[in-house]
Amino acid sequence: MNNDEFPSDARPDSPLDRAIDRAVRKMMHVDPRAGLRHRVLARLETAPPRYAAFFPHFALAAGVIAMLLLVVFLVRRDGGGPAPSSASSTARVGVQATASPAAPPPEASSTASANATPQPPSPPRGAPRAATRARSEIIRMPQVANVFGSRGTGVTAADASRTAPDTVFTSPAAAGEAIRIDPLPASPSTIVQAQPGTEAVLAPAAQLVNIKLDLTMTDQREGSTPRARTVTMLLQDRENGRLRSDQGQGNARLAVDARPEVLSNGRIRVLLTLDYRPQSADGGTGLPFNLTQSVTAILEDGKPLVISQSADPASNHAAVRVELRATVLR
Amino acid sequence: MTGTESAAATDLELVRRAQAGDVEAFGELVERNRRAVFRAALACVGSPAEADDVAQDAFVTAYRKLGTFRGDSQFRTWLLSITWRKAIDRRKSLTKWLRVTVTAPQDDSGEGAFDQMERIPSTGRSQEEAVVDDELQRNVTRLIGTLPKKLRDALLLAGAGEHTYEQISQMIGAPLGTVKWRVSEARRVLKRKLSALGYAYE
Repeated sequence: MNNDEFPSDARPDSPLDRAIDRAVRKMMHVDPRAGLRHRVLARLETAPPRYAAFFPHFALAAGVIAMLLLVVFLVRRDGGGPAPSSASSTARVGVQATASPAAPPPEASSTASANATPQPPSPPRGAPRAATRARSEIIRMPQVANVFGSRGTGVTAADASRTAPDTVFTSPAAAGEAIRIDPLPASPSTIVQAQPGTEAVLAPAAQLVNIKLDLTMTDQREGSTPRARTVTMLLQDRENGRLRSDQGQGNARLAVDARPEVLSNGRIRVLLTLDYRPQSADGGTGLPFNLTQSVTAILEDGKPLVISQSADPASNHAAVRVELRATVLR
Repeated sequence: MTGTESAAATDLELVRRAQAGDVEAFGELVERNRRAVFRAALACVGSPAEADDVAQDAFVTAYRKLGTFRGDSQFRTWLLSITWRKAIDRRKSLTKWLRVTVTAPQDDSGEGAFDQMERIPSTGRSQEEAVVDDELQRNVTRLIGTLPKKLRDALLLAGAGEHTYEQISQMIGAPLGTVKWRVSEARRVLKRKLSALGYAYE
């Protein structure tokens, strides 16, 4: 997998070309930090499965389509009269949306009533409507006492087909009472299929708590006092966090990737990837080694734990100790 | 079947397993492509730390979009396209590109292991020649940072040693001939600028 650096037809051998080659090589022949695979897989653990990521969009789209088809259906049910105003359409959508197991707040009811009340009466439906109702489908709706509030609010819950032909709202007054809906001409199964989709399978949920991670790195050179640095990250349960601090090549550098998980027994499991280059006592160049580690540790809530203690592999004249503490903030 | 085709077939098998939910198979794909992805990102954003983040994002995005990979092209080519888009997005959000380039890891600090290796005197090279060469290297590195983005991208990707010209072409969405021209043009511009600094052109 190599271009032999540059096109052969442009490959020259002048000193400047060789200098360019060397400079590009030095810039680009850098390898990623150790543990990239681990970090990627740790992030994938928190990524929802593809179908789960797709499902809410599908459910939302199906719901919107179902609502639109219902609106179209209800408009057509009015019997070929003039197209209803946008206000009446809005009122109908609102009513259909509130006909769900969760009763709407009083404001919603009053809004729906307010929208519905000023509708001009549509022309009465004639005989042709009866023919189109030859086939109908019954869908059991959840029991709702009265989505519009009391009967005195201005909207009459009545049999729409007889006493108020222009009113499309029907309120199931008694338990188990069904609403009759004509099948849609094009695809009657669309709406029916959309119903179970709204009852989505929930993804396994994390606890709604924050976890404070205190990472203390204590580095020491031979003959000098230890220097401790503490980094604090605040993360939600089962969420990834990243922290980057870099003073430039050759200077101190810190890169932390962490993911805490609260366990059922109250302990906290932390997946941690650390890349740390200490800084020297005089603030100049760093110690002559990097500390890179990927670790998964289980911690007691609020209790620190030394997760590594390592020395300069070459000289043993410098050492770094890493201590981790996780605290659940409730 | 050539070696390349064999590797591609194996990649495809891993992709199929990953599509079926085998995360470890995807981990193997990460391992195989981590360097190519990282260096592509590095060519774009200029900072190893940023490139590492871009590489992570690219792999995660690739996993999430794995269902859309049909195998019409090589997995690596597809993955590099994702990487390049991520890197371009990151570069747009970075206002410090010039500073990163000027203080690029390899230009003047000389602290990295690679630099230390480079500084070991070679036989037959006088100390004066070594100093002049080091200065030349610093100037070249600095001038690369001043190249137009399109020329610089092509030059660095070609010099990364991980991507074929065909992959670069698909990655950045430019014809193959254009990529080669940009590399040559980048070199020509660099040599012209170096010549203006007093270095011998030929």
